[in-house]
Amino acid sequence: MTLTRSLNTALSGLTATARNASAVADNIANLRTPGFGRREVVLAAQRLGGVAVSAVHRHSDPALAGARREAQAAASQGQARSGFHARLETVLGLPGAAGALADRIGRFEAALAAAAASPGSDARLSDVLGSAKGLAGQLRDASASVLAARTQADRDIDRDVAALNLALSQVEGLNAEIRRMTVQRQDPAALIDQRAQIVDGIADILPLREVARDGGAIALYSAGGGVLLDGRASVIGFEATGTVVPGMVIGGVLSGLTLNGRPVDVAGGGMLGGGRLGANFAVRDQLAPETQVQLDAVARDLIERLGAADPTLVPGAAGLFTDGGVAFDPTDEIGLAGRVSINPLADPAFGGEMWRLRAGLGAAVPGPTGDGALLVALGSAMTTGRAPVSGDFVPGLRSFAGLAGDLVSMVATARLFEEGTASFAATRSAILDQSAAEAGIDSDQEMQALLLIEQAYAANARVVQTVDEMLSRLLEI
Amino acid sequence: MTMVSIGDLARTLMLQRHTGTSKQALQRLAGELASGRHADLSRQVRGDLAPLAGIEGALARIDGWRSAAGDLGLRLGAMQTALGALDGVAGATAEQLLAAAVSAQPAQVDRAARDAGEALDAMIGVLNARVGDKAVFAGVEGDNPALAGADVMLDALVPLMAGATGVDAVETALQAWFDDPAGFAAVVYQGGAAQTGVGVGPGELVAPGVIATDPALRNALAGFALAALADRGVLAGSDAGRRGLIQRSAERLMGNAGERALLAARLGSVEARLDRAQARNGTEAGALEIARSGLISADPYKTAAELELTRVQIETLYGLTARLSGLSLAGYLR
Repeated sequence: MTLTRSLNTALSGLTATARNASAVADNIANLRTPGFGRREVVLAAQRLGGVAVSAVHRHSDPALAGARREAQAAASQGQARSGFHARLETVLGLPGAAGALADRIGRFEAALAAAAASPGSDARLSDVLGSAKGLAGQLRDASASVLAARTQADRDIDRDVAALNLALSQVEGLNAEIRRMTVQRQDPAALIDQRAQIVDGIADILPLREVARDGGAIALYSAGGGVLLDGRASVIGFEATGTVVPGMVIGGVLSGLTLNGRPVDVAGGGMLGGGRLGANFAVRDQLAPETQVQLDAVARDLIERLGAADPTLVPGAAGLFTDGGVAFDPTDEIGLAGRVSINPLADPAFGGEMWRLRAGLGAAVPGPTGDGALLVALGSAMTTGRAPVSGDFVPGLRSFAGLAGDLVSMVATARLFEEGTASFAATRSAILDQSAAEAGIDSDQEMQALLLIEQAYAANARVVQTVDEMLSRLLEI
Repeated sequence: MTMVSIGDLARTLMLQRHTGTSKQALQRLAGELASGRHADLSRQVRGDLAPLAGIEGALARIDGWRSAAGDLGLRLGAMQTALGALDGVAGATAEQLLAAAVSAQPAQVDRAARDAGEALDAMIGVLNARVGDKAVFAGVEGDNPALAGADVMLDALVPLMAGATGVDAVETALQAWFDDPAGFAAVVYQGGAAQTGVGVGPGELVAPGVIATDPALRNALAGFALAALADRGVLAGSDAGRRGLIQRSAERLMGNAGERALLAARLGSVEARLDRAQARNGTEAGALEIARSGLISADPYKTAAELELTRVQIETLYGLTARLSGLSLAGYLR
C-alpha cells in the first residue's frame, strides 16, 4: 500500500543519490586526467513514484575537440619543419662563430694572403693547406647533416606509420566494445575516454576529423579526405629505407604511403598530408633535397673558381678542391658537397707535396721558392665576382664569401619563417588546450553537488526511518 | 540548468604555461647580458646575414694582409740597410782610391787595390743579406745567395782582360761584361726574376722589385771590380795603368752615388706605400669592428631593464601560484 510504496520511493531515492555520489567520486578521482569527460547522472521521475537514473551522461564538446586536434597536428608539423632548419643553421654556423662556414672561408683567404708574401715558408703553406681542409670539412659536415635529417625523417615516418596503424586497430576494437556495451545498457564512458585519448595521439601524427556513427562508434577521416576508419580500420603502408644517400627520391628508392594498398599523396594538401607525418615527408623529399642542391652549388663554385685560377692544370684536371680526389664532373653534381676534398697532390698526408700550392698542381718541380704569383691568383679568384652556375640563387656576381653568406642567409630566413608559423600553431594549440581544460572537472562544483547529495541521502534515509517507525507502530497494535 | 564552471586544470595549465614562457625569457636575457651579444642573431638581422658575413670576411682578409705587409716590410728594411752599408763603404773606398791615385806611389796604389778587392768581398756579402732565411736581393730564387763570391766574378773577368792594352780598353771590356746578360747576370747573379706584387690591401699589390742585377747595384760592383782587377794583376806591368784603373774606379764609385740614391728613394716610396696600406687597413678594421658590434651586440641597459621586469613577473607568478593553490572549497567544508 501507500506506506510500502513510500518505502520503495525512499529506497529509489537512496539508490539515485548513491549513484550520484559515485559519479561525483569518479569526477573527482579524474580531476587531473586530461580529456576526461565529466560524468553527470540524469535523473527521471518514475511513473509509479520515485526516481530512476535514466542515463549517465558523459560531457564532451566535439567541436572543441576537433579544433584542438587540428591545432595539435599543425603544431606538430611546425615543430618538425622548424627543427630541421634550426639544426641546419647550427651546423653551418652564423658569421662570427668560430668554425662557421664564413669563418673558415675568411681563414682560408687570410692564409692565402699571408703565404703570398712568403711563398717559401712551410709554415705559411701548411696554414693554407690546413684552412683549405677546414673549409672542405665544413661543407662535408653540412651535407652530412642534411642527409642525417633525411634518414631521421624516414625513420620517424616509419615509426609514426606503425603507431598510426596500431592506434587505428585499437580504435576499431574499442568501437566494437562500446557498441556492445551500449546495446547491453552498460556504461561505456571509460572506454569512450580511452578512445578519445588514442584519437588525440593520432591527431599528433595526422590531422583528422571524427564523425559519430550509431551505437556510440566513430569514424575517422584524414583532413585531406582519406578514410582512416569507417567500420574497418584502413592499413597505411610504408617501407623504410635504411640510409638515405643523395640522389634518392620518392617514387624511386624512397617509399611513399599507401592507403589500403593504393598509393596516396603525402604533400601539403594531399590525402594523407599535414601533421608530423606530412612534415617529415616534406623534410625528406623537399626541404632537405633543396638544401642539398644549394650546398652542391656552393661546392661547385669553389671547385670551379680555384680550378680556373691555376695555369699549370690541363683542361679537365682537378684543381685544389676536388670531388673526392678526382676532377669535378658537371653531370655528377648531386651530393658534391659531401665529397669535396683537397687534391691529394698537394697534401703530404696522401703522398703529395705542399710546394704544389705555390708552384701549381700540375707542376713537376718545386720552382722558385719566392714566387707567390699563383697564391696571389688563388686569393683574387676567391674574391672576384662570379655568377653561380647552379643552385637557386638570385642572379648576380658574387665573391665566394658572398655566395656562402647568401646560403646562410637563406637558411636563417627559412628558419625564422618556419619558427613563426610553428609558434603561431603552438600558441593556438595551447589556447585550445586551455579551453578544453576549462571545460573539465571543477572540484568546487563537485563539492557543492556532494553537499546536496549528502542532504538528499540524509533526507531519504530519514524518510525510510520514519516509514519504518510508522510500520512498527502499526504492527504494535 | 546550465552552470558556468571552470575546470581545475585550466588554472594550472595557464600558470604553468606563463611560468615556462617567463623562465625561457629570463634564460635568454641573462645569456644576452652575460655575453653582450644577441642570443638569436638571425632574428636580430631578420635573416639577412650577408652584411655580417661581409664584415667578417673583410676582417679576416685584413688580417692576412697585415701578415703579408709585415713580411714585406722586413724585406724592404733589410734592403735599405744593405744599401746604406753599400753607400758607406763605396764612399770610403772611393776616397781611399782617389788619394792613392793622386799620390802616384806604386805601393799605395797596390794597397788601395787590395783594399778595394776586400771591399768588393764585403759588399757582395752585404748584398747577400737574408731575411727569414731567404736572400732579399735574389728575387724569387731566395734559397740561393743573390751573388756568387768575388773570386768567381774576378776569375771570370781576368781572362777577358788578357789582351787589354790600356785603362780604356779594360773599362770597356768590364762594362761590356757587366751589361752582357751572359756575363754578370749569368755568372755571378744566382737569384731569379723579381718577385711579383703581393696583396696588402683591396686591389693593391706591392712588390720591392729590386734584385741584385739592378743597374745601380751592378754599376757599384763594377766600380769595385775595376780596382780589384788591378790587385789581380791586370795591367801589371804598367804603374800608370794601374793608377789609372784605381782612379777610374774612384770616379765610377762617386758617380754611382746618384743612382744609388735614386734606388734608395724608390725603395723608400714602396715602404711609404706599404705604410699607407697598413694604416688604411688598421682604420678599416676599426670601422668594421664598430659596425659589427652595432649589428650583433645587445644594448646592456635595455637588456638589464627587461631582465628586471621578467624577474618581477616570475616572482608575481610564483606568488599567484602559491596563493591560488589553497583556494579550494574542499578546504573550507567542515
